[in-house]
Amino acid sequence: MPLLHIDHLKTYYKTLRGDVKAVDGVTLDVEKGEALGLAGESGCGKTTLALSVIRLLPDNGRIVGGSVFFDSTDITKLDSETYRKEYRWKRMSMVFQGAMNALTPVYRVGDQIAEAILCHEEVEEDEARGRARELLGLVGVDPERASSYPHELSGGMRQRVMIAMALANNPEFIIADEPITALDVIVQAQVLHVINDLRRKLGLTMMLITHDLSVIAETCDGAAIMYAGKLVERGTVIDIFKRPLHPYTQGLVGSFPSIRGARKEMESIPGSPPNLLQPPPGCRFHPRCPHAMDICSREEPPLVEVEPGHLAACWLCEGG
Amino acid sequence: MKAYLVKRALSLFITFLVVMSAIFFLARSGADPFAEFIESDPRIPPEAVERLRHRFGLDKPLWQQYLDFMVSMFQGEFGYSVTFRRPVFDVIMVRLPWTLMLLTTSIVISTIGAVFLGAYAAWNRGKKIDLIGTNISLFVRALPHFWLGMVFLLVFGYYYRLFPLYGVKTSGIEYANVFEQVKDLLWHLTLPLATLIIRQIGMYTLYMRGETLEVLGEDFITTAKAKGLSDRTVLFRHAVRTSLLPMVTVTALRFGFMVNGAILTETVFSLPGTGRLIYQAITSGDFFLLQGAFFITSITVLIANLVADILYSHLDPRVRY
Repeated sequence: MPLLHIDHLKTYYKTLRGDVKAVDGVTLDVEKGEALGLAGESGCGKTTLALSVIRLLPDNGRIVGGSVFFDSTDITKLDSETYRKEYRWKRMSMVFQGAMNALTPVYRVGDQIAEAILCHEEVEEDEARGRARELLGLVGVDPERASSYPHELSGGMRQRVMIAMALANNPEFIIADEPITALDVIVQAQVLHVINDLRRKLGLTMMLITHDLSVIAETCDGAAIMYAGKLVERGTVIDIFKRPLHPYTQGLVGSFPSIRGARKEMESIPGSPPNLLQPPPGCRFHPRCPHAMDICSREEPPLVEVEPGHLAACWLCEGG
Repeated sequence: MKAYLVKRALSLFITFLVVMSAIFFLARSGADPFAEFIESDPRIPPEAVERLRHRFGLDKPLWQQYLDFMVSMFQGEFGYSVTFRRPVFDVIMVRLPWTLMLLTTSIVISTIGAVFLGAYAAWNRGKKIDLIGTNISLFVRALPHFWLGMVFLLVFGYYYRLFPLYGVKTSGIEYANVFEQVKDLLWHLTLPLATLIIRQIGMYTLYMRGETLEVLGEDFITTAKAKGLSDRTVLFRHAVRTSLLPMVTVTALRFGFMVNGAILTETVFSLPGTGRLIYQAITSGDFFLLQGAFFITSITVLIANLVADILYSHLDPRVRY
């Protein structure tokens, strides 16, 4: 059994114009110890998927179908108090895009980390503070910075503090949502290095959400591609980058420049992502797909295992 | 910090000069404390009124009067109240404690109430409790408070005789001890305080609700929830603590706004405060009294603002002077 098993999950947002089907029947496994990269365009449901797993959907968002099994327990069925006390941050935590505003501006960062520890463990305040300082050291921030306020830190440091905070209660599973967006390139590399390093050292299972494929290539073992609320392809990083099966994945991989390869015009995918209030029938990618066939606009392609561990949802792959 | 305080004191001083000049010209626009003398008693000879004008310096040119006024204000010399026939300073000092007591008590209680109610409403945004609370707040806020005061007087003072109709003490009473005296005072102040507090809770609950809603949408609230903190901790330690900051400024400003509130409330309940004194000074054209009362009021407001700024820098680590 994988550590995280998402089963036909549907998460909709209620709006005045109808339900936005942000996540619409996604099935995805994350094995213990795996680092899975989840990629896709803005608004394809990556973050909604993560928020559904950690149960922090905004008020108008609701899981309308499917389940999320964490260590064989369906966490969507747990009552919110049990989930809050037993799972959230204790067994799974989340690194938010912390460069901007993810830390409360009026408290010292060390205290904010200690707060997470005190919330889940019976320890003295001094011990929690001490551990907060150790955690800061672990992510490469001077422990003396524990007494700084968030506005006194640079974007990269704030992101490291965010990571330290996510590690506060030794979770097994970490979701990192765009952890390096809004940082400059040098700092991105440093933060990425910290994440990689810690993951190996602590044996963490991780789901990394990004729209930047190169980050996944560099950090992750597996990759999953989402399009318009659906999972379109899942495989190892090699599978996805070397042998992409789904035309959308092919377009995505093709739209990234290669440093070593021949210089060529970058390809872009024509058209724009569909409106999730009324997604197109059949395969959601068919209006933009260069290989669209008749069946694509009529029936939705199932997710099939084309080769071991490499799954795709496309009628082209259906025949093998 | 020190440099800031110096700068701040300087700007306070300039503000103060401007305010005092405004008061000087406002008080003199159309009011003449001696005109009433002549009208009320035709037997007073015009020469006597002229002599009075001379004694009060009103026959000098305006700029001369202005300079005299500024100099004497800085000497703490507020002049002589024509209506009370006593030095202005003495008249005000008897009244000021009442107004300060009324203002401070009502502001403290209504702020605490508004913070809790507003935060609670924001947390339950869109639910029934929020809708009811918001509508009641809007309703209360729209009520003229002098009207509310009169209704209170009519219902609780006249029909049910639960509270006195005017003043701050039962006339002719001898208090056996301090306890009795405090009890009598509270009994008298219940209705005026209730009027002020209810209205202000209505106004500032909405304000606090708006501030809290804004903060609740911030990323750090999601982080706090994600940490597994309880709803109460997220709301009070993270959201309310952050949305309190603008409340501090508003609370200080309220000391200023409240002066007019106090005028009406003090008048309705016949309380001996500076608000009512200002009212009396205006109606009788007693501009020495008016100047003095405005002087004290502006000082109070300016000090309240300074205190708010200093407090702010202690509450918000991002603000350092």
